[in-house]
Amino acid sequence: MSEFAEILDTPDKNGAAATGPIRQYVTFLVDERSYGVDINLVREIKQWTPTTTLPNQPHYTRGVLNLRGTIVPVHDLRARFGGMLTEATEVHVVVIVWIGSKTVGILVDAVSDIISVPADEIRPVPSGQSLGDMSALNGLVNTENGMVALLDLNTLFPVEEDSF
Amino acid sequence: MSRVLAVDDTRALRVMLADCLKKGGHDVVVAADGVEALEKLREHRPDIVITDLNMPRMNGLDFIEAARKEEAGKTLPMLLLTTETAQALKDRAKAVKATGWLTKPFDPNQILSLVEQLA
Amino acid sequence: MDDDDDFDFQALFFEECNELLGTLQEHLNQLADGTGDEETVHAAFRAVHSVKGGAAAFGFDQLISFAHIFETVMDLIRSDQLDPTDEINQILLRSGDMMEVLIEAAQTGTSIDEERISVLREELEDLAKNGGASEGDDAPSDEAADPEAPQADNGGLELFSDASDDTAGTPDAKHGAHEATEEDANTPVPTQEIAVRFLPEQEFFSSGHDPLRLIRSARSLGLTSVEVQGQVPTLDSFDPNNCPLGWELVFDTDKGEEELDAFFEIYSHIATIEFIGGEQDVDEAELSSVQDANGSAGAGDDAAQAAPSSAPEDAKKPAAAPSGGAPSADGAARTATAPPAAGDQPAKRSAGSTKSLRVELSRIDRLVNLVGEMLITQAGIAQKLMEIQSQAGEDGMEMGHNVDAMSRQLRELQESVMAIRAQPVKSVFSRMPRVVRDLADKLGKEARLTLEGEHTEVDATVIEELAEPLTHMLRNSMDHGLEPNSEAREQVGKPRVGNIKLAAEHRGERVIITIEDDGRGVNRERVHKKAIEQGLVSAEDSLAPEEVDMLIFHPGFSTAEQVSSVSGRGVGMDVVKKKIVSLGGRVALESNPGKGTRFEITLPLTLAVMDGMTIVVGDQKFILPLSSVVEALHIDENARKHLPSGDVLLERRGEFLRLIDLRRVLSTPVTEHEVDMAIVVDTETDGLVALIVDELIGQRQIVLKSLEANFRRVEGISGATILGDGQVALILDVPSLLGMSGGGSYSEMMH
Repeated sequence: MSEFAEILDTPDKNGAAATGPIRQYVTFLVDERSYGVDINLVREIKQWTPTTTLPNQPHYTRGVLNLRGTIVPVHDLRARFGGMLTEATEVHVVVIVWIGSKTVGILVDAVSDIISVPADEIRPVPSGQSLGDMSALNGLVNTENGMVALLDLNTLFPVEEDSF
Repeated sequence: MSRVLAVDDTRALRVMLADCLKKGGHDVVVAADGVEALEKLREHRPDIVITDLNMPRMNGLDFIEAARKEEAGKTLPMLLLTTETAQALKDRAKAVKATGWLTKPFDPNQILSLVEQLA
Repeated sequence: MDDDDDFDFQALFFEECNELLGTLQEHLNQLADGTGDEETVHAAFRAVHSVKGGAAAFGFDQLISFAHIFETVMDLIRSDQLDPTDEINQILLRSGDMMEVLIEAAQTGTSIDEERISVLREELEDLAKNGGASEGDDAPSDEAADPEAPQADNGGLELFSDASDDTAGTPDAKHGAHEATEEDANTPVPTQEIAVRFLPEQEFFSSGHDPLRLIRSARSLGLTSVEVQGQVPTLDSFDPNNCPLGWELVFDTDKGEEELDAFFEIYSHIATIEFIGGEQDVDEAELSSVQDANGSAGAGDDAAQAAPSSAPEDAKKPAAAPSGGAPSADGAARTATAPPAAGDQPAKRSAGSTKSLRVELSRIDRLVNLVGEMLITQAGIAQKLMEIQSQAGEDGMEMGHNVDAMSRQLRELQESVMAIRAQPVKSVFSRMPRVVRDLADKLGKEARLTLEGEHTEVDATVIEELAEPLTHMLRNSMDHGLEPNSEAREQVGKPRVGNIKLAAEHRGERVIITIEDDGRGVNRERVHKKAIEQGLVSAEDSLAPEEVDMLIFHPGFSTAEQVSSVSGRGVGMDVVKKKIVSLGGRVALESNPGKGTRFEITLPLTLAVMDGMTIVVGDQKFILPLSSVVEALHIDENARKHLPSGDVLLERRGEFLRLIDLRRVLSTPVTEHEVDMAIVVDTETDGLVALIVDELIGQRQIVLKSLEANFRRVEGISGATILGDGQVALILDVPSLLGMSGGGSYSEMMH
């Protein structure tokens, strides 16, 4: 991850002559709404495969899957935002992201795009919006294809760092 | 600086790969599948190719096999970058004369040093 | 030497230091116990000496100067000029602790307040004087009997010219003076020569590889020469698409072999790549160069150790001496002189340095993982074979035998690989005397720790996890187990000094660790009272004495007295128990009022693999640890007894077991059909229980995977594994499942 950060965090020299550093986000759809995650946090994108359910977890935790020998939890973004559990099929996608030092999967409907956004075009989240859990958003961006809500993964799916 | 052809059907991964290469000072050409990659190969004459394996229309292995028959691809270093690990696929990669096999998720530093090393 | 190299060598030095410290403290403890012999003193001396040598190479001044005076005193003791009284032994023990502190400081780049050192240093200086020796006499005087010593000293030459002069002047030091000057000029060169044979296959070129590019890139890794091997074809038979040649590439590199490995990996499918020129020697040389600050000497010496009989021949052929960057004549001279010394002391170093190969743990882990993956693949094959065997006839039978054989071989392979990682518990145990000493100081108690079975071997994964719980348990024994002070002990007719014993032994596939003190035992009255106050039990509950004792493991239990400067770090015995259970172990407690307390920890020998029973509950497969499975049985309707509380009991041979429906506990979708299969498991803490399952698939060995690595601890689940089909299966943690199903009070769980 740090290697990614080193290489990718530097301002994109090829980027448009926009003001402020350019940030890139992978965007995906849940219920026709667009959400974005910092591209540096995205490890890979996988087709949905059935998970192994864990007992007594929040309903949005779909269980765990085998990612090349390591066990990775998968959370349902729709359910996390208060929607129904996704009836996941082969066309659904799991975005594998870094949250802190942990690798976590997020179930979404589809991956749509990668957007480049000058940092100063990221708008703060107004209070009273009806997007679900506001504290879980980092900001909003208007694109030609509509608004994208940028996710704050640490708030959405907090991870515990190890301790004795 | 080398010219790199990056082939992947997932746009996110394609962009990530291209980004990493650009930041390493390379000239990058992208393609979304084998068919497009063959066109780009003829058109841009890259110094090295990094391609995904599973892609629609033409997969990475078929692409390499076809590219080896092209003038531009005869001795071109062509790396497969994939999450697959099956030995049968690796054997097939060797048979179609792929230059090497890399496992996703990729390590940007490794990609850059391999481009230095091979291209 | 640039900074990077310096850094790598330092890391290696500190790694080495930790081992030396362990050895030192172990031997000092033996000295103090009176269980040591002559070799004990020598070994302790050598450990101090080696640390000093390494410290000198890196200029850790505080460590060097302290080690120097410490070494002086140790030298007096080993040469019988100073008699180690109890008092002296205490000083030595504290000096050993101080070495640890100083090494830690050197590692973090900090320095220790001189005042902390000065008292101890003065005590050592007094000893040095009283021993009748002046500072100048401190240099080790029997180098001939200690092949390690002269080299180590040379490492410290720059800073201890007085010491080396003495070494040279000592009659016993056979090659002292000559060598000192010669090697002084040879400051350690942090590069090593690695030769790689590279034989490309025919398709090398046609697969897009270009040897010129390879060689060009290899230069940045320190490539010094390339030699072509094989026959250059005649021009008319030359096919540019085929590659008939090979190369021998010689690197003179400061990089590890690992880096070269990474460089060559991309060619591995299309070329034969061989590292030639004795990696083992190279590794040893690298280490010795840290320990002794002189690579060539270490390598030469080790070669002599490895094959004393062939050493003279080596001496005639200097070129055969392992490369280490120093003139080969020097190496040869050493090999020639070394055998007599080795002969004098045959047992001295042979066990440690000649037959062992230092390998990075990460490489072994890779191996362990691979074998694990193979087991999974094998399980997949076996499963598939079962499915098709019925229609496969004789061929299928034969294939079945082959797969069986492969599975046996795989297990053997796995055991061999696991054995590489096995380590004596000593590496953890030897840190504990210091814990006890520190606590004794803090608490104003007198105590001694006896160690037993330190050579018991356990997998490295377990060793790593042991230090914390053991430290907490020793704290508990010191704080609560032993009487408040020596006077209180005398009053009840016990020796003033409290005794704590830490022991390890193998029992079957598990390791048993006991911590035993001769203190007061658990104060049941107080524990019971406290537990009632805290609502853990009700006053009406009549608990057996043993049940009261077990309350100290209960989460949320703490006596007021527990919050002291020692135990009161927010860590109670419940955390210890949780930790042990999470490692697949259990803790038992035996308390004898007035006589003492004994904890027994049982742990698996490894945390990497375990035997499991695969079961189906609802629509998912789960694993039960085989060690806890007692039997599988069919439930006879008449054997079910319903209690008013809603609990169900199962009668089994006249005994009533709690019957737990795993489908309910695990909240899996309940299948329609009535299930009559139960598995009886031993929960260790709560006796036997019966678990209702949908199906029993069979037993197999599984590779443990952590849920916590990317998620968190899940109640009722101790981990996960990957089945042959790639699906994840959860490993059930039965004791914690019980807590989930009952949710009742403690007293309920006791029955």
